[in-house]
Amino acid sequence: MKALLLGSTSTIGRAVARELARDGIDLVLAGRDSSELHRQASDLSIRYRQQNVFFDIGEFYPHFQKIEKIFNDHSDIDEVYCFIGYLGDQQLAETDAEEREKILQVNYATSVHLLSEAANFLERKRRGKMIIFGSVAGDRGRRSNYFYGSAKSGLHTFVDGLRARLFSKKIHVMLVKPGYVDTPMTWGKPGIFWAASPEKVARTILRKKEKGKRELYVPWFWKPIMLVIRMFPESIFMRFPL
Amino acid sequence: MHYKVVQLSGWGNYPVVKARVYRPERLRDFAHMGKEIHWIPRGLGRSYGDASLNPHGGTLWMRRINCFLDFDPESGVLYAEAGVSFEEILRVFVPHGWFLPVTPGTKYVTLGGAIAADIHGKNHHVHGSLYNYIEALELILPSGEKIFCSRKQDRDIFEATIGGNGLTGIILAAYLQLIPIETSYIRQAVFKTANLQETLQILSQLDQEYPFSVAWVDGFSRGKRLGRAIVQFGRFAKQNELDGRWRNHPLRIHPSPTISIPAYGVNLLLNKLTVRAFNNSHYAFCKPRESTVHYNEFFYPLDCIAHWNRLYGRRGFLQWQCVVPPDAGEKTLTAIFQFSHEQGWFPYLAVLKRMGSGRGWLSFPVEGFTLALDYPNRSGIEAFISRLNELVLNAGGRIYLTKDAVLTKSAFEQMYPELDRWKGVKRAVDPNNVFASLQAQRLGLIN
Ligand SMILES: Cc1cc2nc3c(=O)[nH]c(=O)nc-3n(C[C@H](O)[C@H](O)[C@H](O)COP(=O)(O)OP(=O)(O)OC[C@H]3O[C@@H](n4cnc5c(N)ncnc54)[C@H](O)[C@@H]3O)c2cc1C
Ligand SMILES: NC(=O)c1ccc[n+]([C@@H]2O[C@H](COP(=O)([O-])OP(=O)(O)OC[C@H]3O[C@@H](n4cnc5c(N)ncnc54)[C@H](OP(=O)(O)O)[C@@H]3O)[C@@H](O)[C@H]2O)c1
Repeated sequence: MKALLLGSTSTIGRAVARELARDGIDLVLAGRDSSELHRQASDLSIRYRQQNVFFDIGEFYPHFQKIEKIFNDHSDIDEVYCFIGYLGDQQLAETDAEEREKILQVNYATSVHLLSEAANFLERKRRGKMIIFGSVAGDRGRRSNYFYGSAKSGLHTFVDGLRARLFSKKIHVMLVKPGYVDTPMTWGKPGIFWAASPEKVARTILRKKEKGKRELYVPWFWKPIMLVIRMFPESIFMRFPL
Repeated sequence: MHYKVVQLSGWGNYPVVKARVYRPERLRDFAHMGKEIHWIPRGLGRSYGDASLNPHGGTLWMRRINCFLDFDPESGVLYAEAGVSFEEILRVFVPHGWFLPVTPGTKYVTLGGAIAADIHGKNHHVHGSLYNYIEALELILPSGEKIFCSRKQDRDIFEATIGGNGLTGIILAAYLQLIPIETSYIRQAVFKTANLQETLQILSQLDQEYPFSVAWVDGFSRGKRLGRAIVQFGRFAKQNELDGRWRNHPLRIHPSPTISIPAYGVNLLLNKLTVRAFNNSHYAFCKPRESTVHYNEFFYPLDCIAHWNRLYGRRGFLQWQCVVPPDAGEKTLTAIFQFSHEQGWFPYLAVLKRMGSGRGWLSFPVEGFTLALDYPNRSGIEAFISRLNELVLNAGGRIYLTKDAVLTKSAFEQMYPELDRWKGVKRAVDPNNVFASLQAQRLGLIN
């Protein structure tokens, strides 16, 4: 087994990588920061005596590189994970075009490009799995994070379509919608509660992936919470200070 | 980096401060740490007092800087980041026949925290402190400059940082010499002594024969029984010494904690009556014996209960640890127990051990007997501990800073004769006292 991790150095990505390496799965790590990729690669190979390689695929804004080379070099990849995400600064984005663009680029546009390339690769092999990170923030627009939320929402719609396309090719697509996870994205931010540990989230994801789950809320209680949040009439919901 | 405001304390849950905690996860985070005048690094918070606390600045929580960077299977030298825990090192390396060269009584400490306290273990009388096994350090100086230091390069900074309580900069990573083991089991010999004199005697006698030794003392016993103890000696077992059921898996690792204390206790479980009863039965039922036990049981008996410090309740407890010169041992230790009992303070835990010679600077260990006592926090504890500190000072001994929250500047200065040398390095690398803790302020380690 070989897995490609896009955005492998994300905090959740690191936890998933450790779980996969523990299970003896070969890893291809891809990210934008060579020194972080290097740390991660040596850590995994010492902890689990496991072989892995890494690719620096650069910053996604304003440019990004194609990842054909990864699939050419590693035609035996059978799982693709995507952890890429950028919360950004909501308030800044309201007035600053650059921040706005970056949030849209990283969370939506470049993710869509990368995942499309990955999908084309797996489609040719006619087997594999894709595990993609969306967010509960994409379930309903809120004033505190609607740039990020809407980009994730777009990604969710893209993933649903992709799943339908790949379904007949025996490729399973799982969308993960984390609630609060204890990573730099949530550390010290106001209003965060019950943040789950990345290790626990990683274990849940890998377990549910085996069960063929299509959409997964982690931790589980975000599913009922989001159900309720989605049910509120807009006339009331828009008044919430969320 | 963002910070989170957290109520923070050491393992003793006393004192508690409101801290701004920053948690770096990428190396580039160190380049934009945040606007703070002061910083103190922190690992797993197993120091008991205020060595890792600073309410007036940022707390740099290093736990997520935890990558293994390199390992040389020939020499056994591990290059790992400061936030790696001893628990992780054991998990990864015990199955391949390597062990920690020096370990405290818990495996839930970080490499960085262990270096900053220059920890000692049950083998101090033979192998010395952790310092002996650190080949080099990767350090971020208060200026922001990143350096490697070792016995050959920037030696003063190296010496001042090991045992420097986080005050000379951020330990980013270290080269640690691991030691080879054939099995992960300990051959132990357990003795029972009737009083302090016997306890000290047996420690001095048998120390030559075993690399590991420690005495659990019944801190409640008085009079003729004062200082009665269960004394444990040990060494790593050879494979052919293991029973059949273990011989096939000689390098088994530790299990995860079995119990967790979910909330602060209300002193029902842990009070003078229960501890006295425990001590009496522990002593009475203990059989002198030779046996083979797993390292987890030998080195980390308390680790099977997560958050056991909560049993002491919200007010927490103080651990106090001194070392007194060998000649003054019996007299001073007797005086400590007697004074304690007279004042109505009974230590809930008392651990005694012989130490070999020390290495100077701010490192705690020096030749003699070291005694660690746990007291639940009640009013008047600071005055009481100060009196104990005086007893130790008058006997020519010293106090371990990683366990301290009470020591005064003047007593401290008399206890650590190489302080000026350390301060010289501190002034040179950190003239503006960027790195500071509550303890450093109290002890005048910063100006
Ligand atoms: C049950 C128990 C048993 C113990 N037994 C022993 C024993 O036998 N022998 C012994 O010597 N000690 C013992 N200790 C104490 C413990 O080993 C030390 O306090 C150790 O420093 C704890 O490591 P930590 O990662 O929790 O550090 P913390 O408590 O978080 O910090 C300790 C000190 O290290 C500094 N520090 C932490 N990380 C860094 C870094 N990356 N760079 C620079 N400075 C840093 C902090 O500023 C602080 O001054 C014991 C503690 C407990 C709870
Ligand atoms: N944490 C939460 O509470 C939470 C909640 C809901 C959803 N999620 C989603 O879960 C996924 C993982 O989150 P995490 O918490 O682990 O976040 P994280 O640690 O901040 O990781 C984000 C990832 O995106 C990469 N990235 C960010 N900006 C980039 C850019 N401009 N160009 C290229 N790469 C960029 C990061 O690379 P570097 O490693 O180099 O920084 C990292 O790999 C994300 O998709 C996130 O949106 C998280």
